[in-house]
Amino acid sequence: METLWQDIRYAVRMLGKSPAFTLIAVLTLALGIGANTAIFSVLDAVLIKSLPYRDPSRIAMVWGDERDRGNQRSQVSATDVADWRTQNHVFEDVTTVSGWTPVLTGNGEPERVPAVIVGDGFFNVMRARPLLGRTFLPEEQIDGKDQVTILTYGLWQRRFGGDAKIIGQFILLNARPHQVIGVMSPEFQSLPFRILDGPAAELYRPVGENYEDNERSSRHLRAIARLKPGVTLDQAQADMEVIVRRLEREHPRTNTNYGVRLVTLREDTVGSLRPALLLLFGAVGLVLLIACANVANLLLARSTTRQKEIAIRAALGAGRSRLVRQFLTESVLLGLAGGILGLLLATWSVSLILALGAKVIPSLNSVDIDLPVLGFTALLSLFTGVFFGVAPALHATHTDLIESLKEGGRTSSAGAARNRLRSSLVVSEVALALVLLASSGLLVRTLLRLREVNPGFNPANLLTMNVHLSTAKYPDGPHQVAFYNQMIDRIQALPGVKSAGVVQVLPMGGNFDGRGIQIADRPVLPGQEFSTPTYIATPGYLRTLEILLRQGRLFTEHDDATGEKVVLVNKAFARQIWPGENPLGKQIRFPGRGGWENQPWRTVVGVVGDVKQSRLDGPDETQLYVPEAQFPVSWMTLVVRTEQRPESLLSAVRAQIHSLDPDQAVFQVATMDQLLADSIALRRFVMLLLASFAAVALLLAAVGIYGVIAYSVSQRTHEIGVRMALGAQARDVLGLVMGQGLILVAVGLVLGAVAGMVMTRLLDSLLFGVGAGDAVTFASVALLLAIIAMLACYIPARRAMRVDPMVALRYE
Amino acid sequence: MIKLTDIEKFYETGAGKTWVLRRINLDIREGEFITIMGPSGAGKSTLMGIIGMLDGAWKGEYYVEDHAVHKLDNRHRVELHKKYIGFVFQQYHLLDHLTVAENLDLPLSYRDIKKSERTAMVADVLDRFQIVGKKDLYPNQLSGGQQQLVAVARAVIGNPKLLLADEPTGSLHSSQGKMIMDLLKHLNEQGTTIIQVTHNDAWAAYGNRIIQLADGWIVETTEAKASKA
Repeated sequence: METLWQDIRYAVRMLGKSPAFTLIAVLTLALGIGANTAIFSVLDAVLIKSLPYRDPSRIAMVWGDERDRGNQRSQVSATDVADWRTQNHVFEDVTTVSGWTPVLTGNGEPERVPAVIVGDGFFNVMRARPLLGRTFLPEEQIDGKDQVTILTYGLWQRRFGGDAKIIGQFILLNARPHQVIGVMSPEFQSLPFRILDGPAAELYRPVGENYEDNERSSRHLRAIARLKPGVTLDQAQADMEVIVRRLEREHPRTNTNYGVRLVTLREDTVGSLRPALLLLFGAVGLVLLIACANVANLLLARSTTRQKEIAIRAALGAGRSRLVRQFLTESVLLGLAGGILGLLLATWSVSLILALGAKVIPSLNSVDIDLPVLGFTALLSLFTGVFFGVAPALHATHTDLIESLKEGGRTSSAGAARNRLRSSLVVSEVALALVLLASSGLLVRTLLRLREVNPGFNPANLLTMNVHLSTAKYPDGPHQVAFYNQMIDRIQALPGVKSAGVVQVLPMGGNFDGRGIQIADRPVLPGQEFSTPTYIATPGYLRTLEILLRQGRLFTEHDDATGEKVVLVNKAFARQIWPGENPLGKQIRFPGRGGWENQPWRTVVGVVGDVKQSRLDGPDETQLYVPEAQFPVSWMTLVVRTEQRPESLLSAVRAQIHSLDPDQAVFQVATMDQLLADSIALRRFVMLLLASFAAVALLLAAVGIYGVIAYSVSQRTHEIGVRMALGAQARDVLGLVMGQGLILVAVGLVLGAVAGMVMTRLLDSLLFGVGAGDAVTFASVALLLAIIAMLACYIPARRAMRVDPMVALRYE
Repeated sequence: MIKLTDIEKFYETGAGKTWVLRRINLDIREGEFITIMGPSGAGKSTLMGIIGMLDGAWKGEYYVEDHAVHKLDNRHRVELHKKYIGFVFQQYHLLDHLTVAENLDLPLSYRDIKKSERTAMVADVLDRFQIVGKKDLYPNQLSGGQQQLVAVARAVIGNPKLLLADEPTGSLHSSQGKMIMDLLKHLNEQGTTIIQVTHNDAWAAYGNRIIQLADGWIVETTEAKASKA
């Protein structure tokens, strides 16, 4: 213990004697350890920490599995879930959730509140108890008896000042009175964004369905279940298979080829993030390796100047293990100092990462530098200290005593081994840096390719916002159509507005369920019911988005409730359903309450271009448009094409809506450019972080190359002097030094390219329009790396060119 | 062949100029074997560096045959150096990581000579110096005498007219030293002009003129005693 303390004191003194070396080493390590700490803290919060619910590993999502369409994450119907509930043997309970955003009025300004409509048993599945009042009763889940609500603690405090008498009071949601029956405890957290497709819920309401068989195809809910203790996900899946097969036999029209897929809530929430986060964790691992290689190189260079000290210690009786320990103490101290500075860097960079990943990282657990993260950093720093220290320590202590003790003695064989090790370290740095550069390069190209994708409409200068009407105030189609028409007329009259329209679901505005359709003259066999995304829109919507008309006509003002029922199909639909035929004049119909038979046929009057509705990298999908006047709904999204920056017209547009109805809220205001950017947020997040790490790697590799070449030049001053005495010119010396550096870089590039070809396959799921081994990307980043490396070599090479042969030879 | 007129060199120090060489005037005829002697710090090696064109910072006039070295820029000096001069050092200055053959090839590689021609010249020199068996050895595998033999071979491989030998025997014991001096004498007899620096009177006697330097001045020029020690 005493010798350890002595080693530490000596190590501190030695490091203090070389402040420049110590500073560079600590900064280098801090960059590597800090990046690792930052990414680990995100990884810990997202992938390692439990979800903030009771016994969260038993909570699972039950998704519909549309086997003939390959959609394994489709929504479910209340009627199916009611059957699952009574027939299963594996769930403590299974229930439904679905996002809702009512306008809350009274007690202050009207406000759009994020909410969840939940089925019976929801609070049992979540193991959540109310702070005040009670949760919903089964009889409140029936249509007509569902005018009750439960507030979250946050909303109760914020909007009602924590009023203890709130239970039993009525509040207005979408202008309808709802009785408050409970307030949840502050610990109860909302379901994550990915489940609700919306922000954290502030209030709850019963689902109020009528659970009829003809509602089985109305799949607009999401199912969530709690497994019985001891039941595995596979057992639950098997039990549900039996149930869905039975339902398929009993209800072939709606349930043929329809299964379910169980996924744990954690997997569903963060599963898609796992590859990206692990990839980033791997990337920072590479940055740390490069940092370690750099510091090991510094230590090796330093050890040559300490050979005499080592020889004297050995001559005085220090064994090799004792000497190695002394060196390792120094490197571990460097590692720990790097760790402390790295923690500071991480605290700062975590907030940056969270800002970059706001649209990507779920906020269920807060990302903090907490105890597990501190432990990770401490272990990493210790390990790093040993890792980069061990090779230099072994080399430094493997030296020829007699030679080292002679003044000016040269130990060429140990020196050569050290040079080989230093060269291999630089080669590894270049190879690792190339892997990182290639990875970020591939993502940059992916984003460029995505920007080149034609979304099927013109996204420039489009302002969008949700305008959902209260069905209490606008109870039927004519009222809703009248409001939207007046709103559009007023907005189109605004200076700076080119056109405006409303649509039910915007491109990049979230997913949408398919609507079952029947095609005239085509009998529907069980399980072959055709379903396609259908968009309810006003005539102005297609014009405003500048969606191309390919054939026929767009909607007009005459396509109203009294006119002929019409529909537009997109090119993909026409190609798939009527290949080689003229789609104009063909007929389609949708199901309604009570089935198909009393629903009108709709005539195809036009063919429009394909729109990338859910994601830019998706294939062209079949799409239908129906006129809003013939298919009115109360929740639409307004789209305004402007002549100038769309944001500048926001207040004018809002004012027009409020002039129509002062209580009408608008929400989710965004420009189309923002929505497009959000649709590639995960890729952009990973790309930005990878590019930052690659930049750090490039910098470290350049410093590493510079260090090795500069050291080599200082060691070869004599040789350069001899060469000049034998007739070498400045350019010969330049070639000699640059050549040495470039050979190392070339070997590193070759190894890095091979490693990169293998490792970039991990990126496959994030790439679009570019292969993992894309030659152009690899060649470009290799060229960039080579140029930086040449600059790093050139500085010491210039110094070598200025060697005075007289001085160099006299130093011998 | 060599004509030095009023060659002077000094360093600027805090206390003013520190003179290394003062008004050096020297004529060296083709085929001469000159010995420069003097105590440490007399300026011997500096003078060798100037004659060998490794040092460019001096004043005065320096002619090699018809070439006014003092008027040449660095690039032309390097060209002249390559054409006329070979160097032999006390510490041999062989490159550790190159074999004997590669060390011999080194000065040729700086003279735009084709690889095949260079290989032939290296083979010829290995043969002339009887070191063919050592061609693949590294310098640290040779004795001091053998290393200096290789260094002399390297100095003459480009057929220089002037061979500058700065204490060529300084690191050798006497029998090895004699071998090297006999070799230099032999080269001189074949027409190579030689300037050597030595502290050893016996080796000085190999030359035909001895120049004594002290504090940067030429203090004495004597004809060497005939014949060798």
